[in-house]
Amino acid sequence: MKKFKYYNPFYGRNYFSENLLPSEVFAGHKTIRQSIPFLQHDDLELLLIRRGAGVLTVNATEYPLSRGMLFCFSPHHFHKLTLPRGHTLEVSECHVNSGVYFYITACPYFIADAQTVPYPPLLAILDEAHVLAAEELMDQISGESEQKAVKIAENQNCFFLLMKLFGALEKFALPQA
Amino acid sequence: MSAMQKAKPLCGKPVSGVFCDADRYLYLQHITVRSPLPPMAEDNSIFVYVETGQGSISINGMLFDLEPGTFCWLQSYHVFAIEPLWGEELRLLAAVYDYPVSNYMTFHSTSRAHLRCFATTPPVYHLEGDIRVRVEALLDEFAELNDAVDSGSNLIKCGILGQLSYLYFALCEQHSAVHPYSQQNWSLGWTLAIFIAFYSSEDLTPVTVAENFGISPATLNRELRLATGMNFSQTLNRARVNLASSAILFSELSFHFISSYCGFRYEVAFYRTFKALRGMTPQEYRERAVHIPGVPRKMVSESVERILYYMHTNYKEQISLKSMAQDLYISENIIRTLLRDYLNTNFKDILTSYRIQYAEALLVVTDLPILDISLASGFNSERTFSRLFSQKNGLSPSAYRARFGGKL
Repeated sequence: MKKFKYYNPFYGRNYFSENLLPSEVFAGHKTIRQSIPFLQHDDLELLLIRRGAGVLTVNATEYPLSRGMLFCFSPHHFHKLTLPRGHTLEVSECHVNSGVYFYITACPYFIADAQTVPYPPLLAILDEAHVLAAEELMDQISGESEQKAVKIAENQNCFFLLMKLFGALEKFALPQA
Repeated sequence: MSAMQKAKPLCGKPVSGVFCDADRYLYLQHITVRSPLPPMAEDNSIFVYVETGQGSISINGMLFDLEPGTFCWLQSYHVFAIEPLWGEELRLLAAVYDYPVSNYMTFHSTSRAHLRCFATTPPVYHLEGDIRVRVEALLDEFAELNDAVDSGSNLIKCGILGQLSYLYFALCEQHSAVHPYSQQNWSLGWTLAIFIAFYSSEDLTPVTVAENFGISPATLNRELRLATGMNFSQTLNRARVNLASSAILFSELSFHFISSYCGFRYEVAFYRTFKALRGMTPQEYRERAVHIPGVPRKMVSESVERILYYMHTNYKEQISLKSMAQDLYISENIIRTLLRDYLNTNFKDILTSYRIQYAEALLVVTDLPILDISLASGFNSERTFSRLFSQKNGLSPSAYRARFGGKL
């Protein structure tokens, strides 16, 4: 009897190259108690403000923080946090490589208004219902990762969650100055 | 062993385009069924969820109950007919999960575990408890965004579809041993239809498939026609054309490649079969697939994403079009064409804009000399940096620092 091979779309090769995908995702929930000096990362950082107040300086622009702000920092966004004495700030953060942004913008349904170089939106302000949804997404992503970096290629759900998070960021993004 | 279940014969030729049509992508449809629907064979996969009402669905000749909380993921190789109980009204939610997008979402070839799910469990589940709440919450979320067609909402909707598929596979794994329908012996037509769909890229003939199942080619055709209303070659051609359609949005796959990986021995045969089934040539289909009414789509190009990713990670280094072409194994001319066609820009512009963004940040955040900043952001000389910077911002670097920086 003839042996049949399994049906394999794209002949078993991964259509998108491995290194384009977010190889690892770090996500977690943090309570910040003191100010943080200027920082910059070589990957993308998604930062959701959950509770508390403070001032975040990105490059030269100051953002007074409030609940429901979702930031996306690229390598060229230097950011520092100024907290008044005695205050705390609860945030969720998530680090992915920039490949995830390019992969997500490759979605057939993602039509940018102007065809220019993809540029991650910096800040979205979510309303209460969407904050809850975003909080749940962040919790699920950090739940999937369980304190250690999670490999996206092995965890599809994590990719879907990230996609929704970027969708929310895109949907509620403030126009860039 | 009990007798094999007989397939429920179909009445009439299956129709397509009822649940999924070009204008129904990324849209949650509310469907009310009061009388039996004709048998349907769609070209994409569909999630169906029963909100209220009782009824039944026959898929490839197997009969399943529909009740509130039933969740189905129907594939292109399923021929199905939905029928409410007499006097009942079925309210269904249906969302199309089209194959080009699901291919893009899974980014890996379908894993064996997932294939096993499709092959060994029927696509109908009665949801209970926690998982039912999760599916309903996802569908609610989808319904809220139904009319929004901006890119952000589209991403969220794609994510929801992905999560539904993820939940479906989780269900399969939990229930594969205790699925209420897996106790039954499936009809031969059911097994044959799945076999042909899964191995359609192989060199299948009625004789080899019939031999594989220990039946005669005539029995093969009869059983298939009972279950799906189509004979062997019709089923096979449909499966192959559907496989080809799922690759249609990936611009790097040539039709020559698509035809061979779908199992067509000659490219001519591919064009002929495609035109016969879809009523248009693959090229026309590719064009229509992008310019559809409702939610527009775009072509996916792996190379463009790789180019952008390479530039975004390396712009601080001394890179040039030539070195990038060598590293990515793409010719310089192709890179130029791709960037012009997809992004309406060129290599130099992208590189400069990345470098200047980084330099702007360094100018306002640090008090490094301009020369150091220009070198740190990948420029060769201070002069080039100042010239390009003033071109973009209308300000010299030091004037920019004086205006925006200085708050350290």
